[in-house]
Amino acid sequence: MMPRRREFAHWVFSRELRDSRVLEEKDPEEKGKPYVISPLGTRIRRVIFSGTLTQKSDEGTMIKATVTDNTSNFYLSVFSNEFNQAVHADIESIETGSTVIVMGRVNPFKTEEKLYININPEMIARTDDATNQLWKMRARHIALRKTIGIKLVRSNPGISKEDLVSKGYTDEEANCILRSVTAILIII
Amino acid sequence: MIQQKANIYELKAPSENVTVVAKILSLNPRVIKNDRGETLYYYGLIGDSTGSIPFTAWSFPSGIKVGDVVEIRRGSLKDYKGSTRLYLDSRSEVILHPEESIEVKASYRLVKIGEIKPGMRYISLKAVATSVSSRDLSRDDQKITMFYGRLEDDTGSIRFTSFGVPIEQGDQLFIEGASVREFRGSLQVSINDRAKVARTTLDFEIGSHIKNIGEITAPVGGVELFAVAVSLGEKSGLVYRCSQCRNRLDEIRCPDHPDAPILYDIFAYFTVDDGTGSILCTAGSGALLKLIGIKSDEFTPSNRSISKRSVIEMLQKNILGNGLVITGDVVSGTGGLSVRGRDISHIDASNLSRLSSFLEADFT
Repeated sequence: MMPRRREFAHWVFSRELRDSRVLEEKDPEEKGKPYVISPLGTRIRRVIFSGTLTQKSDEGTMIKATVTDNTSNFYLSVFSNEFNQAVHADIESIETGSTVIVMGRVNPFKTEEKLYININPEMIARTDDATNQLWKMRARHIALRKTIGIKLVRSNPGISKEDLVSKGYTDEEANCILRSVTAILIII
Repeated sequence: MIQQKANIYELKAPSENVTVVAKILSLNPRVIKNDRGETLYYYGLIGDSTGSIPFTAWSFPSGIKVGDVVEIRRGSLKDYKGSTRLYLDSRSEVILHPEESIEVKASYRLVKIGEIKPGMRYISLKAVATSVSSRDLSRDDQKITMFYGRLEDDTGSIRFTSFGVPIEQGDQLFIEGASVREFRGSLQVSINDRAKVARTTLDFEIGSHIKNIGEITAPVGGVELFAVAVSLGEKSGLVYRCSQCRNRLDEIRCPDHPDAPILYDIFAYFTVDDGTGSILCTAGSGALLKLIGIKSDEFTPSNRSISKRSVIEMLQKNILGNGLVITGDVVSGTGGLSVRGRDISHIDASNLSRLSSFLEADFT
């Protein structure tokens, strides 16, 4: 049996996720939630982020929590079921005000007016300031590279993926940059 | 007139009924002893105007010597330790072409260590021997000194072996014609009497080899990763070993050496992610004890504070969700690429400053 490819976990700021307006259309046969397309063209189904746990409430069937990374908030829902026991126990034991790092699945819900995005954590752990700084540094760098690429494409509309790769962008980054420009056109 | 069937440069394994016309570059007899007695076989190197390839022959006509041009028919190509090798068996024919001469391509691609990939055969590289050990071996009743250790340049490090060519620690080397091999998932270069080794002054500095995980596509040594551990393998933890045979034990007594005391060892495997990708990292006691804050002389069965439970708790606390700086080697295995961590530490301010410089270099 071929090993299943691990879903890429994107290091994105909450602001990038919050400003997302587009859901990728998915084949009805395909399992899982649709990908969220962020303003920077990132195709997101899984994220890793770090920030401060600012709010936590136990609502019986689930724990709801908020993590802020100082650009906006990530909203977490941890259901109380047999698949989530470890994560449920972990979030229960973390006090508000703690610095945490989270890896989780993105759970989008779209109404006519708005796209709501919740995170279902697969891993949550208390972390230290240095790890938080590492996450911020990397997430900023990833976003900045894409932003510069998007500006480049906007000022040179004919630019291709190959052109971007030849300028040092990875395949994934080039796809994001071109997707970002296309997705924005769709919204307009 | 010789009908050349294939250029050596184009040969790819696996393949049968291969015909090549080539010059014998080296030819060595070797005797192996097994249950059925002694078996003589030959090994060496053949080359043509496009490249060269090692061969093994279970039978080889007498009278053929180094420098002769031969036509080899019905050979087979197989991968052996990461490089392609030509095999000659009882069905193969070796025909001498005494009137022919071939100029063998003797130049090798100059590569950086970070560019070395499985399947490369012969290369040239400039590197510093950063660690060297030696061992005396006996081969065909002759004593030979094998030098082994690590070579390093500004892109990575790689293990090397040198048979007979002396290498000293700190030597700055220009090596032409080293062969590339894969051994237990790691790449290494082999320097034999066919390679040319010259001492030189190198025009680069050895420093850290920070890599983005997303850029790792092949085994390479000496990488440094700045990443967060996002999962810890269930079977990570304290391991019992027999002090005599060093085998891993399921019980606290070795079935073969029941009186031998047990030793403590530690093993962990975990996934790390740096935003450009993720990779599995494995590590043993050499890297992990320092990370979880236990001195090696305290890591013994007589220390009552150490148990399977306490070790797994320490691993969870110090690995999961932590930013780590991992120095190690990328190796290839059945599950794909992974990193064998040689040194693992928690990220701190000085490491963040180095990472910042590495990332900022993208925009200068």
